[in-house]
Amino acid sequence: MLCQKSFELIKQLDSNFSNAHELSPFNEDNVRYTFEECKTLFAQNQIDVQPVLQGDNSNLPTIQMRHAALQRNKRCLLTYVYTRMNWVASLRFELATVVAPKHIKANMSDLEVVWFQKYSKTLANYMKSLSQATQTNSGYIYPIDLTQYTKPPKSLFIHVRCLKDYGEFELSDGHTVSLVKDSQHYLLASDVQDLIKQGILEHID
Amino acid sequence: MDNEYSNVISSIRSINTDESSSLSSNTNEEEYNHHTNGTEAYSTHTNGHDNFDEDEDDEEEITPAELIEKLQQSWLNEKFSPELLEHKTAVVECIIEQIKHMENNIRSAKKGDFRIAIHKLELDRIKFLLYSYLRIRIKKIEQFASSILEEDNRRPSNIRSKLSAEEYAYASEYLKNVRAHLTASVLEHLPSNLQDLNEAVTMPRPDLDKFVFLRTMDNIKGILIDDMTNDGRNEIIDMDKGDLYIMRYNPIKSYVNSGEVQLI
Repeated sequence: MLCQKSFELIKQLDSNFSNAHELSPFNEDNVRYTFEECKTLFAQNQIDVQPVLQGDNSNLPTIQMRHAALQRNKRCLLTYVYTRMNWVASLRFELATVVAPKHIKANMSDLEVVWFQKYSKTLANYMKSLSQATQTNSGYIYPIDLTQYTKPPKSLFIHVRCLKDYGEFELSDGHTVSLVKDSQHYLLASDVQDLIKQGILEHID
Repeated sequence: MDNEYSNVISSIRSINTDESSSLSSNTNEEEYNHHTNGTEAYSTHTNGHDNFDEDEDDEEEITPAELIEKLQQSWLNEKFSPELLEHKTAVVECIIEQIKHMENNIRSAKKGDFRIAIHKLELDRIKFLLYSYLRIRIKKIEQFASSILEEDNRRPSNIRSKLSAEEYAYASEYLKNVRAHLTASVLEHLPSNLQDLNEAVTMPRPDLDKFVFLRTMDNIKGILIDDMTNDGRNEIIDMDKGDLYIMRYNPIKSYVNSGEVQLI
């Protein structure tokens, strides 16, 4: 059936984003199949359009149907790519890292990897220009990192539990703590935000 | 014992003096100076006039509390309005100035002073507001990049851009990347007659007819509410100060920018 594979892509998106931190593999097969389908449909239309140009309209409904199928395929493909693209971009904020975790990166297409790099770079440029624009005469630059402070702060210090062995971690006051699996700490919330996002620490009440 | 006591006293005093310099008279001046610099730069940049700027120019004294309130209002408006609002450059710059001051104060305060914790938390809250404000804008810019840029390029030169210079650069680069990604992933593999992205149709646009909650900050007379059916059953309403409404965003959108309406 026409457009079946492209529709499957859309259905896949739906199941994909029910799970917040997983990305399903880029469905190269269906995408390729849909490209081929488009080429075939287009070629058939090219042939069938000849009699119409001569004034014979009997092929017209077929051509219109194929054209609708082409449009639908295009729309499904764009939606698929666009939605995944936004999801990949949101990683930058959710994980506060410029390197995508391995298990996610494995499921990204090459182009999506490139996209993520470009996106991170664009965002970094923006944050840098923001910091520079606010530079005072004293020359002191206030660094602005928009991936920080994503939640309204409730208290300055929070209890955290280590989910993985991490090793030594340097705090903003110069002290270091050793983050060993299952150990609990009472630390500055702003220091440990990134580690919580990366799943190394867990915030406990 | 005596020694310890005097230590605490002196550190409190040092914070106190820092405080008064950072949170009242001193910064007012600085803020104002800084601010006028900012607006001058802006008006030479765009030749634009707008209520907010003029208000601010007349307003010689703005306390940090008022400044935070302004940030809070801008943040809420931005959060609940379906479209991108004007960038509050002056507010953002002043807030960053404040943050710098507060960080300096905390750094120069004595270790172990219990006030440091309170100030740091306050600072974290302000930073959250500021960052969240900028983030919401970035999200909107990403979502509506093509329509925002199109609108910005079409705008007459006497109207101020909604984007700050940095945001404009970001939006352009972002859109360029999106186009490149979509072209490489999909469009260039399609037959020639389907390769056009046709952004006006495919890219999302803000839904200006979204319903919003709002509070009026002033008496507003004669708001025209059309019923969207061309039946001519348009309605003109007056709003009193302090009233709460739920209504479509479109009829009141100009009042959001001027501050007569606060989205909640």
